[in-house]
Amino acid sequence: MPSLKDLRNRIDSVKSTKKITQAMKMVAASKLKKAQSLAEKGRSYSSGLDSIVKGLVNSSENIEHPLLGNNLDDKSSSLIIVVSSDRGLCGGLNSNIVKAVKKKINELEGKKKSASLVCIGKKGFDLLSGLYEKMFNFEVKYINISEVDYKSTEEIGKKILDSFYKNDFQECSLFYNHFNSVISQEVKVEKLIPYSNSDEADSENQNNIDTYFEYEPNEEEVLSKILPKNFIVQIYKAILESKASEQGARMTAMDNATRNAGDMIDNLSLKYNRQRQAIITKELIEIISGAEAL
Amino acid sequence: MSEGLLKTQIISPDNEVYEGDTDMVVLPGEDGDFAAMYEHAPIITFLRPGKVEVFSKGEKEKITFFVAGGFVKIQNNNCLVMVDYIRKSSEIDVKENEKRISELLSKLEKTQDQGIRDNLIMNIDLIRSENQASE
Repeated sequence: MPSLKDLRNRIDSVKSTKKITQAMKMVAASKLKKAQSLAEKGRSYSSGLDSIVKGLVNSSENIEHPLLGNNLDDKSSSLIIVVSSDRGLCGGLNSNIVKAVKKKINELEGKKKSASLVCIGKKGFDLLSGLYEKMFNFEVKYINISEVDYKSTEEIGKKILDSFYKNDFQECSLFYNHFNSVISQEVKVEKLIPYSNSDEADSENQNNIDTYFEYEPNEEEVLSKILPKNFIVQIYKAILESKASEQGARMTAMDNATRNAGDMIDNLSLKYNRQRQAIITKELIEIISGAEAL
Repeated sequence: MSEGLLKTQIISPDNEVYEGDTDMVVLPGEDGDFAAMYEHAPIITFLRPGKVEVFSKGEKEKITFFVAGGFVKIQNNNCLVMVDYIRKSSEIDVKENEKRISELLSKLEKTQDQGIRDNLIMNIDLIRSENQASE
């Protein structure tokens, strides 16, 4: 049975933990607002660009471009871009993404294909580097997601594209957390190279196919400029989504932690009071029985 | 003048700069400036760095932006302008930009590396065209 002093100490420490988690929740909530609006704005840009590319790819069947991958037979090596957060304490966000990456790597290894990893976000690198150290063979191993803006995304995207043109890898996929809402984030995998027509045939897209566009200067040139751009923008979108997801996940995780700490404090206080009462009763009995003996 | 309006949206990767009904939008196309109005044919084209002029519905004053290249898609009287970098012309600080140009020029003289030089020249050109757009 712990002494009264021990219980008091525990209650105090849980109380201070609760204060910290509560503060973290507040911070996450205020950051979330900004991150969410950025992610939503980024969505309109990336989906706009994506719809142009889709329309282009669908409208002309015999366009060839390395990023479309229709003239590649040897798909032996792939690059995996993992977007995670920089810090922990955000629920299962990072472990979910790592799980998905592991699954993918196992799949690739089963097919005797090699893979390289690039991490955006420190946590993903921390979790994966222990397991797959050799796969971090790209010139950039990881960058902190907090330091990334559009310009630096463009730089890293260009580096990745350069190494693709050098034929270092033939496929590229992107793992990130899609921000559904504050309480729900889901791991999404996007295949960036070769450019895949995702199966979401939304109405706007359908519209696009029907319309005949005039392309200036011509289709091929538009495509050859727009595909690399789309690649970078999709990465940037994933970064924005991940940032919003991180704050959302942290907010929920910290909310739960605060609630748990509250429950714990209640339990401990109950124990403390019971024990205090027990001691008082014991002392009373001692006094009374002492008086009776006289 | 036609009755209809062109719905215009100007977006950059992390901001929506303008959204509204317009009478006309003047865009810096790669082969020259062009104006888009109601019932413009569906088109997809690039923009070079330059001025975007937006004539909002009913307004006499135009809004001018500087853009550093991008794409434009016009379809069904929707004009979607996608740019990497955009600034309202009224917010451009010409003096500040000239200071930056002279800084970059002095850097340019010191470096020999062709890659860095190209990058610097590109930046200088961009700031210069930004200044031109402010006039």
